[in-house]
Amino acid sequence: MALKFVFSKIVPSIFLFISLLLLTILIDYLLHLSGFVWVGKYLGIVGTLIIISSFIYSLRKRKLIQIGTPKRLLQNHELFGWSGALMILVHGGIHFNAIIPWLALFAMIVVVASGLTGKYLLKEAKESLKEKQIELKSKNLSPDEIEKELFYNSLLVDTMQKWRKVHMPLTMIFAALALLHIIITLLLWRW
Amino acid sequence: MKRTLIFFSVTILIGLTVVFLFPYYAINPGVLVKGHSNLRNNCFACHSIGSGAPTENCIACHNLSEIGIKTSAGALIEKPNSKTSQLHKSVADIQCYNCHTEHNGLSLENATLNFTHSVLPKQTLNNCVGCHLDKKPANYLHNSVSSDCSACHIIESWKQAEFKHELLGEKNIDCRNCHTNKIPDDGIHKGLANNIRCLQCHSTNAWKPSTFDHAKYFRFDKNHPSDCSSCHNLKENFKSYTCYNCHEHKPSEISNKHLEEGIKDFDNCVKCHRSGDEDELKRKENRNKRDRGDDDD
Repeated sequence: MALKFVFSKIVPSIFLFISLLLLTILIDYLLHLSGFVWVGKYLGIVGTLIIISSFIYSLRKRKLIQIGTPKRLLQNHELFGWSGALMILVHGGIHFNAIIPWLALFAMIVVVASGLTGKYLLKEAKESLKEKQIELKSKNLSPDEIEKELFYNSLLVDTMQKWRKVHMPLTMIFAALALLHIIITLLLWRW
Repeated sequence: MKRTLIFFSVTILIGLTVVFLFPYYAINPGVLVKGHSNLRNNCFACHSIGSGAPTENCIACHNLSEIGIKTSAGALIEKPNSKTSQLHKSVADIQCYNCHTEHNGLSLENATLNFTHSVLPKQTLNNCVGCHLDKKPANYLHNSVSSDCSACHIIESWKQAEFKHELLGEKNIDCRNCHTNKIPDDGIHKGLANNIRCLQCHSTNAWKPSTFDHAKYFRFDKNHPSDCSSCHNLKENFKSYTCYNCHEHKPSEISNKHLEEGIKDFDNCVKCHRSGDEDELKRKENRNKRDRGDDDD
Protein backbone atom coordinates (compact mmCIF):
# COMPACT_ATOMS: atom_id res chain seq x y z
CA MET A 1 0.00 0.00 0.00
CA ALA A 2 2.78 2.41 1.03
CA LEU A 3 4.78 1.42 -2.02
CA LYS A 4 1.77 2.03 -4.28
CA PHE A 5 1.32 5.45 -2.73
CA VAL A 6 4.96 6.33 -3.33
CA PHE A 7 4.90 5.18 -6.95
CA SER A 8 1.57 6.70 -7.92
CA LYS A 9 1.84 10.04 -6.12
CA ILE A 10 5.39 11.01 -5.24
CA VAL A 11 7.49 9.42 -7.97
CA PRO A 12 5.94 11.36 -10.92
CA SER A 13 6.78 14.71 -9.31
CA ILE A 14 10.27 13.63 -8.30
CA PHE A 15 10.82 12.20 -11.77
CA LEU A 16 9.86 15.51 -13.40
CA PHE A 17 12.22 17.38 -11.07
CA ILE A 18 15.20 15.05 -11.52
CA SER A 19 14.67 14.83 -15.28
CA LEU A 20 14.77 18.65 -15.38
CA LEU A 21 18.22 18.64 -13.79
CA LEU A 22 19.55 15.72 -15.82
CA LEU A 23 18.26 17.13 -19.11
CA THR A 24 19.96 20.43 -18.29
CA ILE A 25 23.30 18.68 -17.87
CA LEU A 26 22.78 16.66 -21.05
CA ILE A 27 21.80 19.65 -23.22
CA ASP A 28 24.60 21.78 -21.78
CA TYR A 29 27.08 19.00 -22.52
CA LEU A 30 25.79 18.57 -26.07
CA LEU A 31 25.98 22.31 -26.73
CA HIS A 32 29.60 22.37 -25.56
CA LEU A 33 30.40 19.29 -27.60
CA SER A 34 28.90 20.68 -30.81
CA GLY A 35 30.32 24.19 -30.39
CA PHE A 36 26.87 25.74 -30.01
CA VAL A 37 27.40 27.20 -26.53
CA TRP A 38 26.23 30.58 -27.80
CA VAL A 39 22.72 29.12 -28.09
CA GLY A 40 22.56 29.19 -24.28
CA LYS A 41 22.52 32.99 -24.27
CA TYR A 42 19.35 33.07 -26.37
CA LEU A 43 17.74 30.19 -24.46
CA GLY A 44 17.64 32.61 -21.49
CA ILE A 45 15.44 35.00 -23.46
CA VAL A 46 13.21 32.26 -24.89
CA GLY A 47 12.91 30.54 -21.49
CA THR A 48 11.92 33.79 -19.81
CA LEU A 49 9.24 34.47 -22.41
CA ILE A 50 7.88 30.93 -21.99
CA ILE A 51 7.74 31.29 -18.20
CA ILE A 52 6.01 34.67 -18.55
CA SER A 53 3.44 33.06 -20.87
CA SER A 54 2.80 30.39 -18.22
CA PHE A 55 1.44 33.16 -15.94
CA ILE A 56 -1.64 33.49 -18.17
CA TYR A 57 -3.08 30.85 -15.85
CA SER A 58 -2.44 33.06 -12.80
CA LEU A 59 -4.19 35.99 -14.50
CA ARG A 60 -7.16 33.79 -15.49
CA LYS A 61 -7.39 32.39 -11.99
CA ARG A 62 -7.61 35.88 -10.53
CA LYS A 63 -10.20 36.75 -13.21
CA LEU A 64 -7.96 39.47 -14.61
CA ILE A 65 -8.50 37.94 -18.06
CA GLN A 66 -11.28 35.71 -19.39
CA ILE A 67 -9.57 33.69 -22.14
CA GLY A 68 -9.21 29.89 -22.02
CA THR A 69 -10.38 27.29 -19.56
CA PRO A 70 -8.64 27.15 -16.16
CA LYS A 71 -8.00 23.40 -16.51
CA ARG A 72 -6.25 23.79 -19.86
CA LEU A 73 -4.37 26.86 -18.68
CA LEU A 74 -3.17 24.99 -15.59
CA GLN A 75 -1.77 22.25 -17.85
CA ASN A 76 0.00 24.93 -19.89
CA HIS A 77 1.24 26.56 -16.68
CA GLU A 78 2.87 23.28 -15.65
CA LEU A 79 4.29 22.54 -19.11
CA PHE A 80 5.56 26.06 -19.83
CA GLY A 81 6.93 26.43 -16.29
CA TRP A 82 8.92 23.21 -16.60
CA SER A 83 10.21 23.74 -20.16
CA GLY A 84 10.99 27.44 -19.56
CA ALA A 85 12.92 26.44 -16.45
CA LEU A 86 14.86 23.87 -18.48
CA MET A 87 15.91 26.53 -21.00
CA ILE A 88 16.95 28.96 -18.28
CA LEU A 89 18.95 26.25 -16.50
CA VAL A 90 20.81 25.55 -19.75
CA HIS A 91 21.24 29.31 -20.17
CA GLY A 92 22.85 29.48 -16.72
CA GLY A 93 24.99 26.44 -17.44
CA ILE A 94 27.14 25.06 -14.70
CA HIS A 95 28.99 28.29 -14.00
CA PHE A 96 29.19 30.13 -10.70
CA ASN A 97 29.98 33.69 -11.67
CA ALA A 98 27.66 36.20 -10.04
CA ILE A 99 25.39 36.15 -7.01
CA ILE A 100 22.22 37.73 -8.48
CA PRO A 101 21.74 35.44 -11.48
CA TRP A 102 22.62 32.39 -9.44
CA LEU A 103 20.17 33.30 -6.68
CA ALA A 104 17.56 33.82 -9.41
CA LEU A 105 18.37 30.40 -10.81
CA PHE A 106 18.25 28.78 -7.38
CA ALA A 107 14.91 30.52 -6.64
CA MET A 108 13.58 29.21 -9.95
CA ILE A 109 14.56 25.64 -9.04
CA VAL A 110 12.80 26.05 -5.68
CA VAL A 111 9.68 27.41 -7.44
CA VAL A 112 9.68 24.44 -9.82
CA ALA A 113 9.99 22.07 -6.83
CA SER A 114 7.16 23.96 -5.13
CA GLY A 115 5.05 23.77 -8.31
CA LEU A 116 5.58 20.03 -8.56
CA THR A 117 4.58 19.71 -4.88
CA GLY A 118 1.40 21.68 -5.70
CA LYS A 119 0.74 19.33 -8.62
CA TYR A 120 1.00 16.38 -6.24
CA LEU A 121 -1.20 18.01 -3.57
CA LEU A 122 -3.86 18.90 -6.14
CA LYS A 123 -4.02 15.34 -7.40
CA GLU A 124 -4.15 13.98 -3.86
CA ALA A 125 -6.89 16.41 -2.74
CA LYS A 126 -9.00 15.72 -5.85
CA GLU A 127 -8.93 12.01 -5.16
CA SER A 128 -9.94 12.53 -1.51
CA LEU A 129 -12.81 14.70 -2.70
CA LYS A 130 -13.96 11.99 -5.11
CA GLU A 131 -13.90 9.40 -2.32
CA LYS A 132 -15.94 11.74 -0.11
CA GLN A 133 -18.45 12.25 -2.93
CA ILE A 134 -18.91 8.47 -3.32
CA GLU A 135 -19.33 8.12 0.42
CA LEU A 136 -22.04 10.81 0.49
CA LYS A 137 -23.82 9.25 -2.49
CA SER A 138 -23.95 5.93 -0.66
CA LYS A 139 -25.79 7.71 2.17
CA ASN A 140 -28.55 8.47 -0.36
CA LEU A 141 -28.14 12.26 -0.10
CA SER A 142 -29.56 14.45 -2.85
CA PRO A 143 -27.12 16.13 -5.30
CA ASP A 144 -27.78 19.51 -3.69
CA GLU A 145 -27.01 18.15 -0.27
CA ILE A 146 -23.85 16.47 -1.54
CA GLU A 147 -22.66 19.71 -3.13
CA LYS A 148 -23.41 21.64 0.06
CA GLU A 149 -21.56 19.10 2.16
CA LEU A 150 -18.57 19.09 -0.15
CA PHE A 151 -18.47 22.89 -0.22
CA TYR A 152 -18.16 23.08 3.53
CA ASN A 153 -15.63 20.24 3.68
CA SER A 154 -13.64 21.44 0.72
CA LEU A 155 -10.32 19.80 1.34
CA LEU A 156 -9.21 20.81 -2.13
CA VAL A 157 -9.65 24.52 -1.55
CA ASP A 158 -8.04 24.41 1.90
CA THR A 159 -5.03 22.42 0.80
CA MET A 160 -4.35 24.51 -2.27
CA GLN A 161 -4.81 27.76 -0.38
CA LYS A 162 -2.23 26.71 2.17
CA TRP A 163 0.16 25.63 -0.58
CA ARG A 164 -0.35 28.87 -2.50
CA LYS A 165 0.79 30.81 0.57
CA VAL A 166 4.21 29.26 0.04
CA HIS A 167 4.27 29.06 -3.77
CA MET A 168 3.40 32.70 -4.42
CA PRO A 169 6.11 34.31 -2.22
CA LEU A 170 8.68 31.94 -3.68
CA THR A 171 7.55 32.93 -7.17
CA MET A 172 7.80 36.60 -6.25
CA ILE A 173 11.36 36.16 -4.93
CA PHE A 174 12.28 34.40 -8.18
CA ALA A 175 10.57 37.08 -10.27
CA ALA A 176 12.36 39.89 -8.39
CA LEU A 177 15.81 38.30 -8.75
CA ALA A 178 15.20 37.44 -12.41
CA LEU A 179 14.02 41.00 -13.07
CA LEU A 180 17.18 42.40 -11.47
CA HIS A 181 19.33 40.12 -13.62
CA ILE A 182 17.43 41.09 -16.78
CA ILE A 183 17.58 44.84 -16.08
CA ILE A 184 21.31 44.75 -15.28
CA THR A 185 21.95 42.75 -18.45
CA LEU A 186 19.84 45.15 -20.52
CA LEU A 187 21.82 48.06 -19.14
CA LEU A 188 25.35 46.73 -19.42
CA TRP A 189 25.14 44.35 -22.36
CA ARG A 190 25.79 45.37 -25.94
CA TRP A 191 22.54 45.07 -27.96
CA MET B 1 -1.67 39.93 -2.99
CA LYS B 2 -0.14 42.49 -0.62
CA ARG B 3 1.93 39.77 0.98
CA THR B 4 3.39 38.65 -2.33
CA LEU B 5 4.17 42.23 -3.32
CA ILE B 6 6.05 42.68 -0.07
CA PHE B 7 8.19 39.63 -0.87
CA PHE B 8 8.85 41.02 -4.34
CA SER B 9 9.78 44.51 -3.09
CA VAL B 10 11.99 43.28 -0.27
CA THR B 11 13.89 40.99 -2.64
CA ILE B 12 14.40 43.86 -5.08
CA LEU B 13 15.69 46.10 -2.29
CA ILE B 14 18.08 43.48 -0.91
CA GLY B 15 19.24 42.65 -4.44
CA LEU B 16 19.91 46.27 -5.33
CA THR B 17 21.83 46.76 -2.09
CA VAL B 18 24.07 43.79 -2.91
CA VAL B 19 24.57 45.10 -6.46
CA PHE B 20 25.65 48.54 -5.27
CA LEU B 21 27.85 47.28 -2.42
CA PHE B 22 29.53 44.37 -4.23
CA PRO B 23 28.93 44.90 -7.95
CA TYR B 24 31.67 42.52 -9.08
CA TYR B 25 30.45 39.57 -7.03
CA ALA B 26 26.80 40.40 -7.66
CA ILE B 27 26.67 40.72 -11.43
CA ASN B 28 29.95 39.90 -13.20
CA PRO B 29 29.31 37.47 -16.05
CA GLY B 30 32.73 35.84 -15.65
CA VAL B 31 36.12 36.34 -14.01
CA LEU B 32 37.65 39.62 -15.18
CA VAL B 33 41.02 39.44 -16.95
CA LYS B 34 44.02 39.99 -14.66
CA GLY B 35 45.07 43.26 -16.27
CA HIS B 36 41.72 44.84 -15.45
CA SER B 37 41.36 43.47 -11.94
CA ASN B 38 41.70 47.01 -10.55
CA LEU B 39 38.42 47.86 -12.31
CA ARG B 40 36.45 45.01 -10.76
CA ASN B 41 33.99 47.22 -8.90
CA ASN B 42 33.91 50.00 -11.43
CA CYS B 43 31.72 48.55 -14.19
CA PHE B 44 31.30 51.91 -15.90
CA ALA B 45 35.03 52.28 -16.45
CA CYS B 46 34.44 50.05 -19.48
CA HIS B 47 30.67 49.76 -19.84
CA SER B 48 28.22 52.35 -21.08
CA ILE B 49 24.50 51.92 -20.63
CA GLY B 50 22.98 50.03 -23.54
CA SER B 51 26.18 49.70 -25.54
CA GLY B 52 28.23 47.15 -23.62
CA ALA B 53 31.90 48.05 -23.55
CA PRO B 54 32.27 50.47 -26.48
CA THR B 55 35.62 51.06 -28.18
CA GLU B 56 35.73 54.69 -27.01
CA ASN B 57 36.02 53.48 -23.42
CA CYS B 58 38.88 51.11 -24.32
CA ILE B 59 40.95 53.62 -26.29
CA ALA B 60 40.50 56.18 -23.53
CA CYS B 61 43.23 54.14 -21.78
CA HIS B 62 44.73 52.02 -24.56
CA ASN B 63 46.22 54.20 -27.28
CA LEU B 64 45.86 52.10 -30.43
CA SER B 65 49.21 53.13 -31.91
CA GLU B 66 51.00 52.20 -28.68
CA ILE B 67 49.51 48.74 -28.15
CA GLY B 68 52.33 46.23 -27.91
CA ILE B 69 54.86 49.01 -27.38
CA LYS B 70 53.69 50.90 -24.30
CA THR B 71 51.47 50.04 -21.35
CA SER B 72 48.17 51.86 -20.87
CA ALA B 73 50.02 53.99 -18.30
CA GLY B 74 52.45 55.08 -21.05
CA ALA B 75 55.51 53.12 -19.84
CA LEU B 76 57.61 51.30 -22.43
CA ILE B 77 57.07 47.54 -22.51
CA GLU B 78 60.26 45.62 -21.75
CA LYS B 79 59.80 43.26 -24.72
CA PRO B 80 57.77 45.15 -27.33
CA ASN B 81 55.57 42.98 -29.52
CA SER B 82 55.74 44.36 -33.03
CA LYS B 83 53.27 41.76 -34.27
CA THR B 84 50.60 42.94 -31.80
CA SER B 85 51.39 46.54 -32.59
CA GLN B 86 51.11 46.01 -36.35
CA LEU B 87 47.92 44.00 -36.02
CA HIS B 88 46.16 46.65 -33.93
CA LYS B 89 47.19 49.42 -36.29
CA SER B 90 45.66 47.49 -39.19
CA VAL B 91 42.34 47.04 -37.42
CA ALA B 92 41.79 50.62 -36.34
CA ASP B 93 38.34 50.66 -37.92
CA ILE B 94 36.82 47.75 -36.04
CA GLN B 95 35.40 47.54 -32.50
CA CYS B 96 37.56 46.14 -29.70
CA TYR B 97 34.79 43.77 -28.58
CA ASN B 98 34.96 42.02 -31.96
CA CYS B 99 38.06 40.28 -30.63
CA HIS B 100 38.29 40.99 -26.92
CA THR B 101 36.16 39.69 -24.10
CA GLU B 102 37.36 40.65 -20.66
CA HIS B 103 35.10 38.42 -18.53
CA ASN B 104 36.56 35.12 -19.67
CA GLY B 105 39.02 34.34 -16.90
CA LEU B 106 42.27 35.81 -15.61
CA SER B 107 44.41 34.74 -18.55
CA LEU B 108 45.06 37.31 -21.28
CA GLU B 109 44.89 34.54 -23.88
CA ASN B 110 41.26 33.84 -23.01
CA ALA B 111 40.49 37.54 -23.46
CA THR B 112 41.07 37.30 -27.19
CA LEU B 113 39.06 34.15 -27.85
CA ASN B 114 36.47 36.22 -29.73
CA PHE B 115 39.03 36.94 -32.43
CA THR B 116 38.20 35.63 -35.86
CA HIS B 117 40.11 36.37 -39.04
CA SER B 118 36.93 37.72 -40.61
CA VAL B 119 37.39 41.02 -38.74
CA LEU B 120 40.71 41.70 -40.47
CA PRO B 121 40.92 44.05 -43.44
CA LYS B 122 41.71 42.31 -46.73
CA GLN B 123 45.28 43.57 -46.89
CA THR B 124 46.12 42.19 -43.43
CA LEU B 125 44.18 39.01 -44.08
CA ASN B 126 46.20 38.25 -47.21
CA ASN B 127 49.48 38.77 -45.43
CA CYS B 128 49.43 35.67 -43.22
CA VAL B 129 53.15 35.79 -42.46
CA GLY B 130 52.72 39.31 -41.11
CA CYS B 131 51.45 37.63 -37.95
CA HIS B 132 52.34 33.98 -38.44
CA LEU B 133 55.93 34.48 -39.55
CA ASP B 134 57.34 32.05 -37.03
CA LYS B 135 54.69 29.48 -37.97
CA LYS B 136 55.93 28.81 -41.53
CA PRO B 137 57.52 25.35 -41.47
CA ALA B 138 61.19 25.34 -42.42
CA ASN B 139 61.10 22.43 -44.82
CA TYR B 140 61.76 21.86 -48.51
CA LEU B 141 58.10 22.13 -49.52
CA HIS B 142 57.39 25.42 -47.75
CA ASN B 143 60.67 26.90 -48.93
CA SER B 144 59.74 26.05 -52.52
CA VAL B 145 56.38 27.81 -52.54
CA SER B 146 55.37 31.44 -52.14
CA SER B 147 54.27 33.02 -48.88
CA ASP B 148 50.62 33.01 -49.97
CA CYS B 149 49.50 30.47 -47.37
CA SER B 150 45.88 30.64 -48.48
CA ALA B 151 46.84 28.95 -51.76
CA CYS B 152 46.81 25.68 -49.79
CA HIS B 153 45.62 26.38 -46.23
CA ILE B 154 42.30 27.62 -44.93
CA ILE B 155 41.88 30.12 -42.11
CA GLU B 156 39.95 27.74 -39.88
CA SER B 157 42.57 25.02 -39.84
CA TRP B 158 46.22 24.78 -40.80
CA LYS B 159 46.03 21.01 -41.16
CA GLN B 160 43.16 20.95 -43.64
CA ALA B 161 45.51 21.97 -46.42
CA GLU B 162 44.98 21.19 -50.07
CA PHE B 163 48.31 21.30 -51.83
CA LYS B 164 48.38 21.84 -55.56
CA HIS B 165 51.58 20.79 -57.33
CA GLU B 166 51.11 23.60 -59.83
CA LEU B 167 52.26 25.96 -57.09
CA LEU B 168 55.75 24.60 -57.54
CA GLY B 169 55.73 26.18 -60.97
CA GLU B 170 57.96 24.96 -63.77
CA LYS B 171 60.81 24.19 -61.42
CA ASN B 172 62.56 20.91 -62.05
CA ILE B 173 61.69 19.56 -58.64
CA ASP B 174 62.54 16.03 -57.65
CA CYS B 175 59.43 14.40 -56.13
CA ARG B 176 61.65 12.55 -53.69
CA ASN B 177 62.46 15.80 -51.88
CA CYS B 178 59.00 15.72 -50.34
CA HIS B 179 57.84 12.15 -50.86
CA THR B 180 60.74 10.67 -48.99
CA ASN B 181 60.67 6.88 -48.61
CA LYS B 182 57.63 6.72 -50.86
CA ILE B 183 59.41 4.92 -53.69
CA PRO B 184 58.08 1.35 -53.67
CA ASP B 185 60.59 -1.33 -52.87
CA ASP B 186 59.80 -3.45 -55.91
CA GLY B 187 61.54 -4.50 -59.08
CA ILE B 188 60.02 -1.81 -61.27
CA HIS B 189 61.12 1.08 -59.07
CA LYS B 190 64.23 -0.23 -57.39
CA GLY B 191 66.27 -0.48 -60.51
CA LEU B 192 65.43 2.98 -61.75
CA ALA B 193 68.25 5.44 -62.06
CA ASN B 194 68.04 8.63 -60.01
CA ASN B 195 67.61 10.72 -63.11
CA ILE B 196 64.35 8.97 -63.99
CA ARG B 197 61.57 11.21 -62.81
CA CYS B 198 58.39 9.89 -61.22
CA LEU B 199 56.39 12.06 -63.57
CA GLN B 200 57.43 9.91 -66.50
CA CYS B 201 54.88 7.36 -65.32
CA HIS B 202 52.88 8.98 -62.52
CA SER B 203 50.93 12.22 -62.33
CA THR B 204 50.80 14.80 -59.54
CA ASN B 205 47.09 14.12 -59.14
CA ALA B 206 47.49 10.52 -58.05
CA TRP B 207 50.08 7.81 -57.77
CA LYS B 208 47.68 5.33 -59.34
CA PRO B 209 47.02 4.70 -62.13
CA SER B 210 50.50 5.16 -63.51
CA THR B 211 51.12 5.70 -67.17
CA PHE B 212 54.09 3.35 -67.50
CA ASP B 213 54.03 2.08 -71.09
CA HIS B 214 55.74 -1.29 -71.35
CA ALA B 215 55.13 -1.26 -75.14
CA LYS B 216 57.82 1.41 -75.38
CA TYR B 217 60.26 -1.35 -74.46
CA PHE B 218 58.45 -4.49 -75.55
CA ARG B 219 54.91 -5.14 -76.73
CA PHE B 220 53.01 -8.01 -75.12
CA ASP B 221 51.14 -10.62 -77.18
CA LYS B 222 49.67 -14.06 -76.56
CA ASN B 223 53.10 -15.71 -76.81
CA HIS B 224 54.72 -12.93 -74.78
CA PRO B 225 52.38 -12.42 -71.81
CA SER B 226 52.57 -9.60 -69.29
CA ASP B 227 53.47 -11.76 -66.30
CA CYS B 228 56.77 -10.26 -65.21
CA SER B 229 58.57 -13.48 -64.35
CA SER B 230 58.50 -14.76 -67.95
CA CYS B 231 61.35 -12.39 -68.78
CA HIS B 232 62.49 -10.73 -65.54
CA ASN B 233 64.39 -13.27 -63.51
CA LEU B 234 65.63 -10.73 -60.99
CA LYS B 235 62.60 -9.50 -59.07
CA GLU B 236 64.60 -6.75 -57.45
CA ASN B 237 65.67 -5.29 -60.78
CA PHE B 238 63.25 -5.12 -63.68
CA LYS B 239 65.84 -3.51 -65.87
CA SER B 240 67.38 -6.89 -66.34
CA TYR B 241 65.54 -9.40 -68.49
CA THR B 242 66.20 -12.40 -70.64
CA CYS B 243 64.56 -13.89 -73.73
CA TYR B 244 66.20 -17.28 -73.16
CA ASN B 245 63.65 -18.44 -70.57
CA CYS B 246 61.61 -19.71 -73.48
CA HIS B 247 62.53 -22.83 -75.49
CA GLU B 248 61.86 -20.93 -78.72
CA HIS B 249 64.91 -18.79 -78.12
CA LYS B 250 67.97 -20.97 -77.73
CA PRO B 251 71.22 -19.03 -77.24
CA SER B 252 73.13 -21.09 -79.82
CA GLU B 253 70.48 -20.63 -82.52
CA ILE B 254 70.10 -16.93 -81.82
CA SER B 255 73.86 -16.51 -81.90
CA ASN B 256 74.21 -18.32 -85.25
CA LYS B 257 71.33 -16.47 -86.81
CA HIS B 258 72.68 -13.04 -85.86
CA LEU B 259 76.28 -13.82 -86.76
CA GLU B 260 75.07 -14.99 -90.19
CA GLU B 261 73.63 -11.53 -90.69
CA GLY B 262 76.84 -9.96 -89.43
CA ILE B 263 75.28 -8.77 -86.21
CA LYS B 264 77.67 -9.14 -83.34
CA ASP B 265 75.94 -7.04 -80.67
CA PHE B 266 72.80 -9.01 -79.90
CA ASP B 267 72.82 -9.18 -76.06
CA ASN B 268 70.10 -6.56 -75.66
CA CYS B 269 67.30 -8.14 -77.71
CA VAL B 270 64.68 -5.42 -77.20
CA LYS B 271 67.00 -2.82 -78.60
CA CYS B 272 65.90 -4.13 -82.03
CA HIS B 273 62.99 -6.48 -81.30
CA ARG B 274 60.20 -4.49 -79.71
CA SER B 275 57.64 -7.29 -80.01
CA GLY B 276 57.28 -10.98 -80.79
CA ASP B 277 56.57 -10.14 -84.44
CA GLU B 278 59.55 -11.60 -86.27
CA ASP B 279 58.93 -9.58 -89.41
CA GLU B 280 58.55 -6.29 -87.64
CA LEU B 281 62.25 -5.57 -87.74
CA LYS B 282 62.47 -6.44 -91.44
CA ARG B 283 59.53 -4.19 -92.29
CA LYS B 284 61.12 -1.40 -90.29
CA GLU B 285 64.44 -1.79 -92.07
CA ASN B 286 62.75 -1.79 -95.49
CA ARG B 287 60.80 1.32 -94.62
CA ASN B 288 63.97 3.05 -93.52
CA LYS B 289 65.68 2.10 -96.76
CA ARG B 290 62.75 3.41 -98.82
CA ASP B 291 62.83 6.64 -96.87
CA ARG B 292 66.54 6.98 -97.62
CA GLY B 293 65.86 6.19 -101.32
CA ASP B 294 68.27 3.22 -101.60
CA ASP B 295 65.68 0.55 -102.42
CA ASP B 296 67.17 -2.84 -103.40
CA ASP B 297 65.10 -2.92 -106.65
